[in-house]
Amino acid sequence: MDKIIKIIEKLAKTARNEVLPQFDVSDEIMSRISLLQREKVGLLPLEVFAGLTALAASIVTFFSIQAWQYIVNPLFQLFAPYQGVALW
Amino acid sequence: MDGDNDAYRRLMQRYEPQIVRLMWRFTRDRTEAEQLVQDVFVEAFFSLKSYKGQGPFLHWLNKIATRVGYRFWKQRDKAGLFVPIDDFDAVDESKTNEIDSAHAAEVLHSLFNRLQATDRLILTLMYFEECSIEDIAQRTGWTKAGTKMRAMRARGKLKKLAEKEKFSEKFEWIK
Repeated sequence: MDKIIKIIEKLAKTARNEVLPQFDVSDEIMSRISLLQREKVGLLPLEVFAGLTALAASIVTFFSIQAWQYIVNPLFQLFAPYQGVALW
Repeated sequence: MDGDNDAYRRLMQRYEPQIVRLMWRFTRDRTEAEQLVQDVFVEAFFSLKSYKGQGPFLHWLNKIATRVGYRFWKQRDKAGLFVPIDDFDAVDESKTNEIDSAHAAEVLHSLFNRLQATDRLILTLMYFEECSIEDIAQRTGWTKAGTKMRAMRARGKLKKLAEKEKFSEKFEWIK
């Protein structure tokens, strides 16, 4: 085997016996979880409201597209020949 | 388990040492490691529904931990925050023909830190965690063939880097 790789493997073997730091973060984790859970609950009404708003917006869009077809462009009206009707 | 915080606390206490060990491979800064351990367990809590119970819980947790660690490296690399590179020459001065395990880990960590996050991840899992190609593929979600290819490239880059650092001269006394 390659000499360098052999050295690295030996270093790794030694490194694996390293005494690791001990710490207990369970309290911090539980408080983060409960905080996120509360945030999630607080977000629910907002999501419902956003959903209803989107629904209302899509209904308005649906009707406005249909109405759009009947709107006459005022620019065209300028050049359109005058359609007068003789009254007598 | 849904909503049972006490049960999750017990689960956490059971697997915390393994996760601490793994996250220590991603950073040697105690505060950062603590933060990463927290991230792993918080992410695991909100992903519990995705755990099908088909394999050991630790395997599933290790997968999350690997993802959290990798993401941490990626963010750190993106932000341009580089970990100071250790002076390898300091090892020569000891002349004791023995290397302390913490020092060996420090040297390897500094060496791996000069590589890209993907290479670093493979080498860390290979050398520190003694993972096989299959294990790495399972943890990362990569294909077995892709992992094998990546591992080969990462080892090649590591070898080149170690040659540049004159590793064989500095550590030839290691038996």
